[in-house]
This record gives sequence, structure tokens and C-alpha cells, in this order.
Amino acid sequence: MFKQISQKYAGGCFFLLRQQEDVVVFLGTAFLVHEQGYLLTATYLLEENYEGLMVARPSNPEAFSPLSLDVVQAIPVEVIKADHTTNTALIHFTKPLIIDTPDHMVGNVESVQLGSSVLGFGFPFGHEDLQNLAVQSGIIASKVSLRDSVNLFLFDRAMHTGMAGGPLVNYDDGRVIGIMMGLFVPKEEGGDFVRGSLPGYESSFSYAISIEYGKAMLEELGLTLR
Amino acid sequence: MVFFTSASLIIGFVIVSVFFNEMLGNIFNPLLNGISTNAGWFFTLAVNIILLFVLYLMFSRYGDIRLGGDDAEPDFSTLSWFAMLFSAGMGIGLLFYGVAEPMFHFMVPPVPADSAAEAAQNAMKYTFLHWGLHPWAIYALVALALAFFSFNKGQPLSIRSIFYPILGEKINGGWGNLIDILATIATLFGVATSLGFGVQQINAGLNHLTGLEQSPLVQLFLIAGITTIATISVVRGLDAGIRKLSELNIWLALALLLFVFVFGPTLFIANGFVENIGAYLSSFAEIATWNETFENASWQNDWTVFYWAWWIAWSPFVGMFIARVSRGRTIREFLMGVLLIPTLVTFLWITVFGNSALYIDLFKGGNLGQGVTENVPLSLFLLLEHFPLSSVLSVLGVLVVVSFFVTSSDSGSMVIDIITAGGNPDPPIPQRLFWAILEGVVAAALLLSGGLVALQSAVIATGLPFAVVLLLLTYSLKKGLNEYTGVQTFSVKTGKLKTRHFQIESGEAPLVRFHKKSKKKQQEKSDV
Repeated sequence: MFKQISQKYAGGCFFLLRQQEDVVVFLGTAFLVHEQGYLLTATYLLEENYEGLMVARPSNPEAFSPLSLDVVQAIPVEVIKADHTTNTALIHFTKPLIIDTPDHMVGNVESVQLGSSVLGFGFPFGHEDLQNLAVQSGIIASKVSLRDSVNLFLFDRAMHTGMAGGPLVNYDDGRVIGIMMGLFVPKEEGGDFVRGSLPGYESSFSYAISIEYGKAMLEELGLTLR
Repeated sequence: MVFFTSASLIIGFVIVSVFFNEMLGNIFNPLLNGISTNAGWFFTLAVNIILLFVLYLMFSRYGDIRLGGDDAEPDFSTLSWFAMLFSAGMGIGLLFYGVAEPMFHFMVPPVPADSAAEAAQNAMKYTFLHWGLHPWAIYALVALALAFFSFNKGQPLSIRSIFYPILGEKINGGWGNLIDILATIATLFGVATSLGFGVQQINAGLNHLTGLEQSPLVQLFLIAGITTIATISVVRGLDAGIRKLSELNIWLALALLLFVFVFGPTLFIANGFVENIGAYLSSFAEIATWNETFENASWQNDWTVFYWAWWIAWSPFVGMFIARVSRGRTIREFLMGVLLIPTLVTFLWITVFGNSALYIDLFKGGNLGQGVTENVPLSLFLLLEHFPLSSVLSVLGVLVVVSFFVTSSDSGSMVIDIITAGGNPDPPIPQRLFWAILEGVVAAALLLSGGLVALQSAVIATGLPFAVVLLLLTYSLKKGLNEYTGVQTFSVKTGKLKTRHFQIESGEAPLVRFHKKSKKKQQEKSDV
């Protein structure tokens, strides 16, 4: 099953890039959610600058790939909606592509149970010039609701920065339940998560924002998810 | 596009059949005869392949797939669902042939019989063959393909969608439009010709009951009445109109069935029900593949092959309607509901009415067989004459006939509405009005001009090409289900789009700025 889920999502993960003159700079991961060319990622990766955004993907994730790529074939994208509260961003290819997506992509976040196995997809070392797609497994450690009812999943693995924006997939049904954000810091900047934690304290847990916000964005556009 | 082209072609066809009905008859009647004679073996083979395929799906791993996705819930209760699919699928035919067909086969046996008892048993066996598992398997296949490609694969709820695995994206262009136009025309003519024949039969029943004259004027009024009720039903929608009428239908039919069972030869019927099923099952392989190879006769062309072509020609309409009401059911539940339960109910109906009629001729010295073969529309009423309160019962009979006609008509209109609205399951009301009324107008025009038979032959003749399509459909549905349950991957092609190549560089990972509002609050706090 791990293998099947990996096969299913590997082709849907993209490098999120920003064009700076003749080069593109790695920002994080984005993943395809709709055959009409929509992708989801984390809002914070965009750094409030929506210019020059592009995506690209490795040619064949199943094959042995060089650690570092020289060039990538990049496709421009535009930001459709970027929500800072839920940290969910919906982006779209600016040019029409021929896309086919798997069925059953978006999961039911309510039914995810503690201890469920999950898989995360992304490019962990993209910021270090290593562009290999990686799959990371873990279990759901906690389901957290923030003060303004933003839901997130904690999982028991420390994720690397380049994985941010990638999908977190439920092992039970092979569906996406969240967008990976980063390491969970109990006292985040501004004391976001837990009051009274030690300053600067970092946990070995990571977190993903619930997919429900991305799903709502697509539904606002009148798009249905299979 | 589909709406205007279909409407124009239908009106054109009707004009041609009004003025040139004899010429049309000269074309289509020999065509139908030719198809029955030369392609009978193909129909027999095709319907058996379809039945085996549907049974395979029912017991395979695909049975767990839920139509509409894992989270989908059924739109209708099981009773309402069953009432609707049964009313649309078969109802009206059973009312006429429930008595007539066993008596026909009893009078003119398909195979020689040594005794009247054997002839009666054979008559029931062959009637079960024509109304049993095969027709429902055909409906189930088309309905399942439509429901699956529409509810699970995001295609429009339209006949074009079942061709997706074969034609791919071409279904969204001219090919798809052509398919939908043909389906619209076939459905409308199928329902309109049935409506035309049906009012003749209702008129015959009323004439028998009350002496009301059998005339085109009375039949026009009957068409107007049925069309009005069907139009109201279809405008009110699936839940408020069609569902309620279908349920009423089932209750009325059940009342008639119970009455005949209780006041008829109850023990003979009960014994017969078990025995008929046993006889059907024990000789299933033999009769289902029988081709009259060594008899050199044409009995089968007039009956079995006609039925196979008829069910296949009707399958886009009935399949579409069944698909529309079946969202939320698993494939196993769906196939059991569409294949097994209606078959059993059909067997019960045929046994109650057919065995009652046979009992009268076998043991009561009656001569129903003669009367039925001379006047098929009257067969039900001729049987009811042998029961107490026969007048009341015959009125109930007429009500059931009318009610089944209305539900066939409204579900036919609903199907056309959905197709011509581009697969929208809730089509706009003006469009519903248009098709429901046009159906009545076409029926009336054909009835007055005498073009009903020719057009019916034309509709049934479409059974042959569609049988080929159904066989292709088994392949494409299996392919679709395989892909659905297997590992699916993403595919992104740039097509003619030219993409640029860039040198890629690492970048500094940004900090997660998760909660801007809180950050502001924090700032305010530190300012204080």
C-alpha cells in the first residue's frame, strides 16, 4: 500500500519556484489537485510576492535521479487565492495543459484517527540544491484546532523545509488529508500554538494544515473533487 | 446543440412518417425481419455475454465500489428506488403480456409438447426467459456504465459518457453530440410509439368495460390526459412527481396482484411460482442459447429475438433513468437491486396472471387462449372477468395501466431532459415542459397517421447496432473499473505549449508566518 500511494502521488508533486531573471529559485513543494490545472501549496512559501511563480517536476521519480539538477522545464503559475489564516494557497497553471488526475484524491479529515499512518511527499532538500522527490512516513500524533478554529494534524516526524507545501496522505484510503507546513514549534512567532511554552523551543513533530480549506477554495470556484 | 438538432430532427421525422408512413413501413418492416432472421444468433450470444458479465461484476471485487464515491449516500429509500426502476423498466409491458404471452406459448408452443401440462410448463419457461434475467442484465449494464462514468469519473450524465473509454475526449465534441442526439430521438420515439399503442389498448379496455367507442378521438383525449399528468409529474421533478407516481403505481399493481392471488387459484399459483422458477433455472443454459437451429422454424424470430432487440433498443432510456436514481449504492447492491429483485417480482407477476389464465383453460374448461390470441389488449380484462367483482377489478386494471403509462412517459421525458440539458440531472422547467408535451404530440400525430408500426420497427432495428455497442461497453466498463480500483497516477502533458528551461538554484527557506493576526496582537502587546 505504501508503494501504491507513492506511485499515485509522485507524479503530482512539483517544485514551487520563482523566476529571477534566467534562473529559478526553489521555494518549496506544490501538488496538483484538479485536472483543470489547480495546485495547492502553503501560503507562507510565496512570501507575499506573487510575481514570477513557476512549477516544475522531476522527470521520473521512480528512476535513479542525480542529486542536483542543472536545469528544469518550468511552467508559469498564478495565485488564485492565498489565505494567511489557514496558510493555504491555490495556484493555477497560466497555460492550458492536458492533465489527468487520479480519482479519490481528497480525504475526509474528520474520520482520520490518532495513530493513523500517513505519508508526506515533497522535495526535502530543495533549499540545499538537492532536488529529489522524497516520501516520508509517520503517524498522526494529534489533531489540533487553533484559536480561530483552524485545524491541523501533528505527525511524529521532523520534516525538512523543502517538504513544505506537499501533500500529507492518509495510508488507510490513500487520500490527501493535509498540506505539510513545517516543524511544529509550540511557541511559534507570536505564540500562535500553545501559550506558555519555552521561547525558541522546537519539537520533533511536524504539522500539516487540514485539506478542508483547499477543498473549500476549489468548491468556491465551482469545481468538484472526485 | 443537442436540444435544437434533436427537436428539429424529431419534428422532421414525424412529418415524414405522417405523410409517407407506407413508404417507411416498406423500408423498416423488411429490415426488421432481415435482422431477426440473420442476426438472431448474434442477439442470443450478446445477451448471454452481457448477463455473464453483469453476474461476474456482482460477485467480483468491483462490487464494493460505491456509485458517487465512498462518501455518497443513496438519494432515495430502497422501496422508492425499486418502485421507480421497476415502473420505468418494465411495468406496462407486464400488464399486457403477463396474461397474453403464456397463453400465446400455450396455444402455439415453441417446442412440441406431449401433454397440455408440459405445454403449460414450457409456456411459462419461455415467458420467464423473455422477461427474466437477460433484459434486466441489459438495463443493468447500461445503467451501471452511465452511473459509474458520471458519478465516479465526473463525466456528464449522458449517453455519450459511456463511450468515454473508447472515444476519450472526443465525447465532448461532435461525436458526443451525435450520440446524444441519436439517444434522444430513439428514446422519444420509443416512448411516443408505446404511448400510441398504449392508448389503443386502454381504449380497448374501456370499450370492453363500458362500451365506450374505440375511435381516434377517444384515443386523442387519452393521450392528452396521460401527457398532462406526465407533464405535471416531470415538472414537479424526480422526488415530488415521478417518485410519488411510481410508488402509487406499485401499490395499485400490488393490490391487483394480491386480489388475483387470493381470489384466484391460490394453491396452483403458489405451486407454480416455485415450479416455474425451477423449470427456468434447470433448463436455463439450454433455452438461453437455443437458436432453433434444427427446427427450421421462425417462432424465435417473432418472440425471443424480437424481445432481445426490444430490450436493447430501450436500454439507453431505461438505463439512463436507473442511473439517475441510483447514486450512492454500491455496485453489488445496485446489481442485486436491478438484476435479481425485479426478476423475481416479474416472475411473481407472470406466475400470478399467467398461471391463473392457464388454470382456467386447463381445469375450468375456459377458452381464454382463443380470446387472448384474437385480442391481446383485452387479455388482462378477459382474465379478470373470471373473478368476483370483475367490474371493480377491471377499473383497477385500467387505473394500473394508465398509471404505468404515465410513469413510463414521465421517466422518458426526464431522460430526454437530462440528455438535452448537457447531462444536468435537474434540467430547467421550460425544457421539461417542451419534451413532455412533444412526446404527446408525436404520439398523437403517429396514431392519426398510422405511422406507429413503421416507427416502432425503426426503433427496434436500432437494437442490432446497439448490441455491438453493448459488447464494446462490457470491455470499456471493465477497463474503467480496473483503472478506478488500481493504482492511478497523474499525467501532465504540455501538448503544443512551449515551456522554458531554467537553471535551478537553491533558496533560503522562509519562516512559517502562520498567524498574522496573532503576530499583530503580539506587537500590540509589546508596545504596551
